[in-house]
Amino acid sequence: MPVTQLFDREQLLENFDNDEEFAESILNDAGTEIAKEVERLKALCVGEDLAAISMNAHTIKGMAANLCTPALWEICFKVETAAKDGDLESARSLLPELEQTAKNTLEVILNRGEI
Amino acid sequence: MKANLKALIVDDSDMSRRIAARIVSRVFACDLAEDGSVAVSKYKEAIDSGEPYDIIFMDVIMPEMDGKEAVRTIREHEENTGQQRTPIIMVSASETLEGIEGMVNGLLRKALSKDALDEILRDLFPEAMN
Repeated sequence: MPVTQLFDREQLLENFDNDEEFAESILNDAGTEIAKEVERLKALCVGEDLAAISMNAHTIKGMAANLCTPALWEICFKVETAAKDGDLESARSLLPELEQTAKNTLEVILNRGEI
Repeated sequence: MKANLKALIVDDSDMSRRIAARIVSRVFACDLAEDGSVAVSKYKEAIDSGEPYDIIFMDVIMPEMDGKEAVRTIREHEENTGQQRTPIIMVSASETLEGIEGMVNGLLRKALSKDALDEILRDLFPEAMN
């Protein structure tokens, strides 16, 4: 997967009007916030509250959009859609891919766009 | 740019609020709300204080009261009180304006960017953007 699919640093900086200091402050918080929400999603998927699963996947998707991390956005969209459609098994089956994508994304963010 | 414009940014994600505030604060003094019901309260308080918001940036999907419900509540309040319509820009990664067409002034896609914001603001606040 191209690194820009995981994290498009150039686009993020452009969105922030090339304010590197602000980008750094957001990226420093991104790891903690995404990891926290992914753990929450895993816990929710043990239960059967589809509305909560959909909402949580949507929250991570919004973060992914703002952080310019398209691969994470895409898998969150799939989980959100499955939950909205009432398909709990599909939402659960997508979780390992979401976890792995989040892990890969956070590694690239940690390295600030480099592998 | 005119410096005394006021914006309300509504989003349930702390990170999204910070990012939106960073981009929007180039033009507006920003106030923040974490869901639709807080947004409606702040909107009413601002009117009561005689300093209404010049624009509201509203996320669509939020817990408690979502963005579309908040828009309907604000528009209903405006109709009932004769209050001037506040421009509202919806902000979403993937949602549509279904159900609130004609009630809002635009849709911004996440990730928010300076260029996309400027395009909308040039239409709504041409003098402030000159």
